[in-house]
Amino acid sequence: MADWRNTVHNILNHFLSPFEGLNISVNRVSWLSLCVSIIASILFRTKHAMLGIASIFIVLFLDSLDGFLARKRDTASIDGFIVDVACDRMSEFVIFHPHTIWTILAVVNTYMTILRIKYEKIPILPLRHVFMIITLIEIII
Amino acid sequence: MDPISHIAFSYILNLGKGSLWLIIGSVILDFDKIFTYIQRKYRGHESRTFLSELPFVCLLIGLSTIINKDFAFGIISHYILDFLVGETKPFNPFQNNIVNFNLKTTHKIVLGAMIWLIGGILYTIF
Repeated sequence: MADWRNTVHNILNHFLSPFEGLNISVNRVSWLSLCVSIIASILFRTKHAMLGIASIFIVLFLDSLDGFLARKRDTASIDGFIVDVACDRMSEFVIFHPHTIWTILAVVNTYMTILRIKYEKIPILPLRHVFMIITLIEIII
Repeated sequence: MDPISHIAFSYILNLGKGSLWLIIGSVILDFDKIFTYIQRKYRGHESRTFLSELPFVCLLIGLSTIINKDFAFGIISHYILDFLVGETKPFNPFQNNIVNFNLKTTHKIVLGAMIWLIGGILYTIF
């Protein structure tokens, strides 16, 4: 599991390294990702699905960026992790509304996150990634 | 944030489609403030109980999304606004870290005024 995570981190580091010098706090990046999630939610509900997918892509990019910046600045901490995962869970709730099944999955993910805070081995489901891919497939088909 | 801002914010996010359930959902999370205010806890995370935080709120969202989606969306918008602007303990009672993005007071006032203004404009149009 640790090797798998390291590989993902290495790939992400490669793509995110141009943003290393950004003069913005890590928590502000998380804050921004939640704001973009609100925009994504509005776009989906106004039937602009492609723009919604693009917005989710930006949300996921910002989500990766905050973790990357925290690691690079050596400021990764439990406080930062809490901010990050809380933003992610709220982001899921706002993006998935009004889909009942996805919202219930977001509830399950919230409780998995609470367990993850206590036990590192508990996984957090990448629901927004899956939602983005499924929505994209639906549009193409 | 004040109840009017919460109602206006949910109204904006719901694209100008208001309903009684949306309004109730957007203010119900402040119900516990009746008890914290009686205890003279007025500010920040002190005025919030676990009933206003994610572990309980997500259950409420999950249940209400099955019963009434407007009510669920009111709750979501309320929590997001509090989380973005105020001081929360998102995983209370399981974890007690305080989250505060330290927005300046002037920024909060401007944000509140914008929410009122945009909500008012949307209400006038729709």
